[in-house]
Amino acid sequence: MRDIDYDKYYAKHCARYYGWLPATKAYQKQIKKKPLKYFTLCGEEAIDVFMLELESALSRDKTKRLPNVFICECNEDVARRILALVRPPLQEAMIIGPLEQILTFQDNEHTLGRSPDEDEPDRRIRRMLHVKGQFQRLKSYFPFDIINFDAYGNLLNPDDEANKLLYQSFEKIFELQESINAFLLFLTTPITHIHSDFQFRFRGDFEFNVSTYPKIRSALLSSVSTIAYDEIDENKRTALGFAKSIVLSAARSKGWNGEHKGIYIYQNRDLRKMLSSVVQFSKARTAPDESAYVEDIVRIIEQMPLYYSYEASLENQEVQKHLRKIIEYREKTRNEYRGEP
Amino acid sequence: MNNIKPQDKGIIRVADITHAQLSQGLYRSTATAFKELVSNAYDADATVVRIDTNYPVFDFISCADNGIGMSLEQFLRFFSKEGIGSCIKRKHGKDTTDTYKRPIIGRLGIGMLAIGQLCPSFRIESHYKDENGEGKAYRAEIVLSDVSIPDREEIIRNDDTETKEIEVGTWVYEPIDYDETQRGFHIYSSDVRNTFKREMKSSIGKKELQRISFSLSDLHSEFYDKSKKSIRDCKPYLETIWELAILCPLPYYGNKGEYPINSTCFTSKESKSGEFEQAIQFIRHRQQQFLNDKFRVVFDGIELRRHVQLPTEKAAIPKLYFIEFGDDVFGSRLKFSGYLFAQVPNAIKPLELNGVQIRLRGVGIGGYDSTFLRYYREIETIRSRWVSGEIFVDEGLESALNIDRDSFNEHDEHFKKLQLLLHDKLDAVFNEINAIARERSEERRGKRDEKIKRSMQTIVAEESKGKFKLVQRDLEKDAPIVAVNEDKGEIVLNTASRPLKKKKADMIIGAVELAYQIAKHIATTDEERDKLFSQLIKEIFAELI
Repeated sequence: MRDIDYDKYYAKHCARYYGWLPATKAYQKQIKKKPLKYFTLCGEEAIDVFMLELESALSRDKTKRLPNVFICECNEDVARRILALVRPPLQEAMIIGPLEQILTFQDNEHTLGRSPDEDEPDRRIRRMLHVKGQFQRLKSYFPFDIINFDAYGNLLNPDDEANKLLYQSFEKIFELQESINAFLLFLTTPITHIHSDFQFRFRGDFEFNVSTYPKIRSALLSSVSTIAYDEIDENKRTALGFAKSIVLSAARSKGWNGEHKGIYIYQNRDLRKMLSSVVQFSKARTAPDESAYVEDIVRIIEQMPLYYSYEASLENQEVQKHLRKIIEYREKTRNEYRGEP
Repeated sequence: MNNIKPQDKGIIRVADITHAQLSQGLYRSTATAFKELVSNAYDADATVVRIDTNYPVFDFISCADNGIGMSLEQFLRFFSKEGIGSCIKRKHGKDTTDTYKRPIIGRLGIGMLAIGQLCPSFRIESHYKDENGEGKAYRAEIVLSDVSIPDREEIIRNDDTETKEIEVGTWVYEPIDYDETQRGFHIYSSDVRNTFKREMKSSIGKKELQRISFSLSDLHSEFYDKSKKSIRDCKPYLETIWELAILCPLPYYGNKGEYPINSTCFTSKESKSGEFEQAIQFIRHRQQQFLNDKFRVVFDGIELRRHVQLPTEKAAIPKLYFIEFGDDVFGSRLKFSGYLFAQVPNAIKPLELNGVQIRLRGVGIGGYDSTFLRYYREIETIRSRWVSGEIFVDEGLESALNIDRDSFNEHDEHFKKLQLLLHDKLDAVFNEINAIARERSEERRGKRDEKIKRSMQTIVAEESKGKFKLVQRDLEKDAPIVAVNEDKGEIVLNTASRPLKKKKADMIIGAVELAYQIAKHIATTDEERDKLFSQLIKEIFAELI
């Protein structure tokens, strides 16, 4: 049995409904573009894809496909199920393989100067060439209007090699987006076990901000009545740390300004916490804008995060209704495209 | 012959290298490899099998069915104990599946390795109910050896040891939680051979990407596009879909009465004949059987159907024949029935439908055979292209089936009997369609001659300003080919005269002579005669040629 039934995961849908969706609509209105080009690590349920289609952020072409939707899925069996669910509407869409390996691919002695389409008898090298091919393909699809970085791994637990690569691949996104002026990022990660290095970094960055920026200091005092890190609510501390030390740190180092549209913390069925950030980035013309950074942190202090417990989400009729509507739409679409004569 | 005095004796074994060959690929085409996976799903009482290739990138292949799955015991028997090919599907005389009573297709149990032809390593996942009805599941990875057959042979040649255990690959499995929604057998892999990727990608340019539709009716139109002679013109991707659909045990595309045989194209006399009735009843019965099987194959989201639509030319004269046999042959039962369709005088299009398709237990073997199992009488003539047909073998012939399930051992007694009876039937078919063609040709020739005659009469009457009329008459054999009777105002074309005894040459001589005689008897000056002659030659030949 699968761990999570995403069709009934209402707490997660709170993040979609209150965070991803309004941010998408606002962004689309701002850039006046339709349809948007969307990259996602959606699961087999593809709820985000169908939500954005239902809400007109994505649309089908003449052949009834969604040509602007790109999905990366590392689990081959899940990829198979996604194909069964959303194909044929998708086109050129599926990238099957671990995103962290694909985005961080670098040529080695076996792959340098070789085409991924070359025949190779050695399975190990063939695998490397395959990842190279996936990287080239994915790179060619960049930039995207929205990136939904909702990975299986944990961005805050670098002890695991895959998570380390995941963090690097997250940073890589900012390089690959260079030919666009603005984009929207949904970034989701578990926060139940934050590695001590990150906790240390969160604390250090917090103290640096308090001592460097009077506006941040004053916002803390007026919002949470303290500037002592340990006295601040854990969710807010995590939201601030994640925003400053992870998201904005990576973005600013690659020349992007970030504006948090929302940070959402929700519980899964096992009561483990997840964090989903919604951030709009704009390219910095010179050095990243210091005052914009401070304003962003102040906004987080004053307004974020929003928290959705698993139990409370089960009572949220509005969110449940919306999720059901998406699922109905998805099933209708799936039946339409089952190809029955 | 002298008897052998045995010094030693024993059983004949097959070398491991031969087994190893199986894992490197047995199948002629991509479609025939997929067909094996579909056949396994059919035997597992699946109602749907979905094949995905991650079109249009083709870097992933998956095949998932919702059948009974493969138990872990079966898996281990295959991979750990008895080896690949130790199939028990037909153990204790079992001949049909449990739920849908489908005729079991598989015999050896090597079909799963068909994926090995496309993917050197792959994963399988099976969710099944054990004999106590308890849900079980496992996942396994199979990695076929990178060593090619020639390299293996080289190793054996250079090795002194006598018995060789050939490793064709490795396997590993883990039990996983049973998931009712995933019940069935799934195979998937990202380790797709570049040969497959390249071949498929070569089909999909920008134009095709826009044009290829996942609607079944659009797909049908694509296959029956009049500008294409062959499905091959549709390029490898669609060709694979076509071939797979034709081979699988699936219903025909389209509405009853129109597909595969459009009965409205036949004359009422024809459609009242006993043979037509038998053939139509037979086709309907088979279609119903396939529909009752409740078996669907979905390829990249496209529901497959057998796209057979006959006649393929509206102007053709269609004929339908029925063939049936059931008796013991060489000690075992052979039973088959089928239809043959002919359209006079047009070739069957697409040409992949030309020939006879043998279907064993509902599955097509080797596609439509345009040699009609080596029918020598008509095979070199254009008329063999007018014929298409299907023969469904319900009992027997399996011993003739080669290991690739795509061809037959032609010296098998059942095959020989089928061949003989088919050829007898084809003799009758070709006799009839040849007669129709001859009749049609004579009728056409007669019409053409009559038209020419009328044109000539008009030319003679007009150019002689009513002085002469042209008549055709049998005069003496040695009399001139054209005679002029000024008194009667007649120019007589002597139909008995055959100066060169060659039809076309004699016709030309007659035409020239006719022009000459008219010019001679009408013109008053040499100049006028020459001019009129030249004019008449042009007019007459414009009609003749």
